[in-house]
Amino acid sequence: MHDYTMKKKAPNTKNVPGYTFIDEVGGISEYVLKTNGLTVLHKNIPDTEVVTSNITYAVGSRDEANGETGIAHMLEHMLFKPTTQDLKKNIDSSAMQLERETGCIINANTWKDRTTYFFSYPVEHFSRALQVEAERMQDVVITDKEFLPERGNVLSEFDMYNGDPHFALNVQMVCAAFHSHPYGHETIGFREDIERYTPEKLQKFYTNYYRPDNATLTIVGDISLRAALSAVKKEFAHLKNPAVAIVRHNSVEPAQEGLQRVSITRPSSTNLLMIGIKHEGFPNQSWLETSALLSVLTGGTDSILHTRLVDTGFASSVQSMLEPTSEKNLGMIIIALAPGSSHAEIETMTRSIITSLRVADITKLLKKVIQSEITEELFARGSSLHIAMELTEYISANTWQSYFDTVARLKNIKPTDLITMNKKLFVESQMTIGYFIGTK
Amino acid sequence: MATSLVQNNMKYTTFTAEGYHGGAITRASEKTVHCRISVDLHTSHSVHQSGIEHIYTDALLSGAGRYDRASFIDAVSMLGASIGVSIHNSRLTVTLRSTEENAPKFLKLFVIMMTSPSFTSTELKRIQTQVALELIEHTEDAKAVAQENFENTLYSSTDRRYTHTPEQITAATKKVTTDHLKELHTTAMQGMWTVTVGASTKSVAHMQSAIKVCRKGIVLSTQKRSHIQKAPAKKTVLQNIPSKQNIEFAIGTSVPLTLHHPDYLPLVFGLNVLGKWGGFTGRLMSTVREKEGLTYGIYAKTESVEGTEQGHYRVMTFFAPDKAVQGLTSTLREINKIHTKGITQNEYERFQTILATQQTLLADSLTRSVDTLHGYLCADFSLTEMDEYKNRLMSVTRKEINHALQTYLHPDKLTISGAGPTQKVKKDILAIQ
Repeated sequence: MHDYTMKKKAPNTKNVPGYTFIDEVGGISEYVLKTNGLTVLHKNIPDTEVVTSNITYAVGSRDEANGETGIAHMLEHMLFKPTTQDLKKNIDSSAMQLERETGCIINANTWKDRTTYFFSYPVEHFSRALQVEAERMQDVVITDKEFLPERGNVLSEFDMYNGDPHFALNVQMVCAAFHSHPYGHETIGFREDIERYTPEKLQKFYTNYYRPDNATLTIVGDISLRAALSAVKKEFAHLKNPAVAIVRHNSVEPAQEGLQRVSITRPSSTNLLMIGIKHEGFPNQSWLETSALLSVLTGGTDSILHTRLVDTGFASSVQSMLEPTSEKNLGMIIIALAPGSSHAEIETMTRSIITSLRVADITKLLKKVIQSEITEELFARGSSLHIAMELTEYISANTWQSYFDTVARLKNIKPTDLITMNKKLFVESQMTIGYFIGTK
Repeated sequence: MATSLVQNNMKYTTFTAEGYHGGAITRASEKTVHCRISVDLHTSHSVHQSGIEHIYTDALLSGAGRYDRASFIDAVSMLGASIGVSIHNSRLTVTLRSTEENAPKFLKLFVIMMTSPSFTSTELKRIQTQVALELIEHTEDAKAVAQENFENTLYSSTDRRYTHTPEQITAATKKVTTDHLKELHTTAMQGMWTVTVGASTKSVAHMQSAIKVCRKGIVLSTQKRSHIQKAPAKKTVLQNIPSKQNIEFAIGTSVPLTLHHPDYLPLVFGLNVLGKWGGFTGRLMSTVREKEGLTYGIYAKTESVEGTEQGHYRVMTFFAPDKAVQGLTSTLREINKIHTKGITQNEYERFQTILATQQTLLADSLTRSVDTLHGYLCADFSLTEMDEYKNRLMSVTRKEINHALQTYLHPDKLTISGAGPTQKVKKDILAIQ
């Protein structure tokens, strides 16, 4: 029998029957269910009558093989379809029924490293929400009848994104940046792969990754620890893990030897320049430094690129994107060109601005970025739903405790750290540049 | 005069003073401050007025008192705070966010911004260029274009809901002067402010002090407002945006009701059954998306219905071009069905629970609670009236709901507005109604 108690043990006061206590930080407790290794996190927020429960599976687009891109996301959609128990009771789907009968907030999302499902509801629906989550972990029926209409919805979703120049160029950027690593495709996958899914492929993926020892259940809200753990044990303890180990990718991206370039041409009045940079995983200190650097460059109307490109009329907007992925990924600077500006010209200007950054340029901006993060963190931790959502990314990176030290680590970043990071990131062997060329 | 009530861990109070009224939600040991301030700027809604409004929102943030734009943004950012300024349907809203610790300094900056804005010609020129670029980008925002064209069929050009073309607005912005901005600012200062704040008791007091300073010596003036709504009529409006993959749709018609009309809440209830915004509970999501796989999202709701102004209802969705006719047919079928047959007893009971849950979930977020309260206060509800209104929504009868659906949905007099790659399917869409 697998030992799910590999982590440290706690004083007797934390013992709960059926569980191994793992850790407690900042009011969040971590336990592991002894029978099957399900990880449970709990945080009490009293006097709201609201609970958010969120289950995160350590599976995302990075676990997809060639020809099956987007399958993790497709499966996410299928988790809202009926289980075998639902079919016996003649119900559409108990997940949907929970929403239809109670009005709870229900949703899910898939990303590169994880897939997460959440409900937010009045506390009286707690047990029912857990029942739904436990049942659909392994019991969803995947047949053509349920799958084909839902694939239509996913294709609809794909088309919605693909109509956006930002998304379309981003797809090409990551393809160019990663030749081997599965971060080289977008979470929704390629349309050609979506069109070729079968229920069998989905079932295989489902069986491999949807299992208690690959999941973290987070419960935040107006429910006590003991009541929460007792209910979780009741609904989840009987679930079993497959005998085989979880399949993980073992791709190592070959070293990039020079600048990568891509372009897309479409009839559109939009023209974009994207500069992609390979950065370390979340929440490493270097990820935080990259985040701070991108904020200094593009965050707000007083950021460096905004003042130098937008205020001067060369661009209509600047922004950046940095995903909290556990492995090395591509961060982006995205510049929407003003009419009359050429891609090559703006690229030259932007790269020149970035490479000539000095400590004096960024010292004050860095202070603002840190202050802004402090404010945003306070706002983000004001509701059970936001807390659960934010924790998801830390859970995905296997270090939920870091949720509490991010701001402290940000405060320790010095301007010289950003200059060093700048020199490290914006070199041709780390960069991918993309042009979206609108011909309208 | 203040009234108060307590819901879960939040205490609601209201206040009225010279030049403003509003409410506060306080939570013990709250460390953030979230505030909304709104004032109605609407008069005749000319193109010229639209042009000024497009410039004003950035201009207000571009320097005040001894601060030029850079130093003002600097001062706000160094506190980790933020000020958002927007105008929607000629209603100005200023959104303030700060930590409690920095609120006193931040609010001083807010007061300077409102009492001594600079409106320099240098900044005006910069903003005119920026707005022109944004309006070019806007022409490809198919969802926004569909909605604007939809609303333009329901309201006259002097009504606040009407949107002039990007070309018209761009031309108008070029004629805006700093005097125009000052005039609009005077209108903003002389209008009645609605203020809603979520914070600790201490920060609410700071906020009220700051507002008092802003309102000192103000002489209120009431504006004559133009509100011309057209009667429901069948119309199809399509705008071709070939760069898009999907066609965005706005479908619906005008609704001659204000918030206080006895039919309004029954209609709201019924439209929730048809297409509750967000989630999967509405009929439209169950059928058009789940059963038929025709779209990713489809929702319905009333909009722009206020205390003294009538509004409309809108179904929002998108379809791929090759599914547009089928998608529209299914959507119209569902509108027709709920119009003719009404809602079932099961739906009635379910949605009573769903709407009650919506209220409960507000307790999870101070920010959302503030935004919701602000909506009520802008419509001049007291706390008691707000509570009664929510209770009334829960207690409308099925008969009232079905009567409202039969009276106001007008499935034979709908506007269908589409924006996206419409060219190939234009003829087929026009033939639908």
